[in-house]
Amino acid sequence: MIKGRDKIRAVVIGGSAGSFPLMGKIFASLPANFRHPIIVAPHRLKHVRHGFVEALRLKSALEIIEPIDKQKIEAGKIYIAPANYHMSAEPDVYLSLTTEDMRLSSRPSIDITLSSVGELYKENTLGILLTGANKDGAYGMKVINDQGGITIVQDPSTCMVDTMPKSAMEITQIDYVMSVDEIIKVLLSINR
Amino acid sequence: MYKFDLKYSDLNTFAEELKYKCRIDIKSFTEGAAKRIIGGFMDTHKVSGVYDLINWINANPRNKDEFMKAIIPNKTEFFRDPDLWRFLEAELPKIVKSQGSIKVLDLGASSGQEIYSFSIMVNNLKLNKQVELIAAEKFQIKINQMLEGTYSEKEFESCENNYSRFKVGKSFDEFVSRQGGAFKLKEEFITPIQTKQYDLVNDRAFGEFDIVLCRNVMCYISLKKARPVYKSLSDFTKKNGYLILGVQEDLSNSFFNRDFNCVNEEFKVYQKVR
Repeated sequence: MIKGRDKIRAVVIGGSAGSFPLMGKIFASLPANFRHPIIVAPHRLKHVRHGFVEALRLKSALEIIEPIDKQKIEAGKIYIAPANYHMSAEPDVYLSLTTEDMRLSSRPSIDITLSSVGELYKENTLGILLTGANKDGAYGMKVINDQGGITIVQDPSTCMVDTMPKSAMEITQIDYVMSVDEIIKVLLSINR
Repeated sequence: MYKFDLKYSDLNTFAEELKYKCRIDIKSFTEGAAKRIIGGFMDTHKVSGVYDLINWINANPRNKDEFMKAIIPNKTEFFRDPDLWRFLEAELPKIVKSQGSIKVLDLGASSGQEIYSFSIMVNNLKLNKQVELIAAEKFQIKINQMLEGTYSEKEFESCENNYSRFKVGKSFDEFVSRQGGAFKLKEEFITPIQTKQYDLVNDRAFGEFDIVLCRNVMCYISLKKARPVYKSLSDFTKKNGYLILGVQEDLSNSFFNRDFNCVNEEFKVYQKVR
């Protein structure tokens, strides 16, 4: 399926315009015994704090959490960056939520989450970037790649808006370009 | 994102050097935020390495001031989380009525957005004489910035957006005067604020308060340094007084959790019960 799948210890996913139903589909496809943490940075509306996570929880067998600052990262849980906070993985294996300026008009910033997870888990990171309408996430994918992790972008031809995966492909060597169904197969394969 | 990308390993070296050579201590900062803020600063100022940055900071006092302003994160916005402010506006008159007069403390006040939001709300409620407002901040340079009360046009847009959600259909414009591309808060909201230089990580509590605001401050303090700070939060809060954290913060990492009841889970409002 993918080379180096046995080394994966953490999954990080970013996405913007059109990615919400895809995230729902991905999470609904994962078994309750999924053994890695999944850390997710979606672009979210600043003032809408409720509804997003609740909707994702409806179909997932995994626990989906909107973390509190300094929450420990645990295997088998899905962490969604809250509205109006940047979320980064810290060296002591917890998530910090901060209020610095928006990056590329976004808080949460996908770059911040992806790059911090890449730095924490290094070659054990699987970074996934889905459909989206700006360049956020491209830098984060570059960090994951530089750290020796595995990178996958959604096939631009299947994206609602292809700017995000294409931007990542422009600034770094992306390992795999896949449809969402193929991405789900990869996630299932790293759980073996 | 950055041409210069500060790594965690660089950050540790930099923090040591910064403390030794510039007398600036950033070791209490959350590593991720410190790395991003300093990396961004180096990028903006085209400084290519941590030793070059130390030299740049020490080159003249203006550089040091500029660096200090940059590394202390703002709380970002006036009236952040408009629903919380609606809740406070409903509760504050009841608290004042039961206490007669109250003291409010904003910890880690940075450039003042939170305490000034409180000042505007108190003014709207005509409770100025009953509510004393104190802003505590570690860095004098930030206190000076706070007392100046001048903010960027970009910041005004987020204020306007938040305030119109807090007070539906109302504009933030009535509280400010325009100064070129910036806006200045009217003096009537600045003058009631007492300021105090205070280091949340290293200093002891300097009094007890009816309401303690410490919103989105703990998130910038590393887990290792956070534990004693929770003691100060408890010490600062009067019995039956209120402690208000950021909406994504809580007391779960704190031994002092047992001293508080959470009276509003959504807005992280705690009442001290013992």
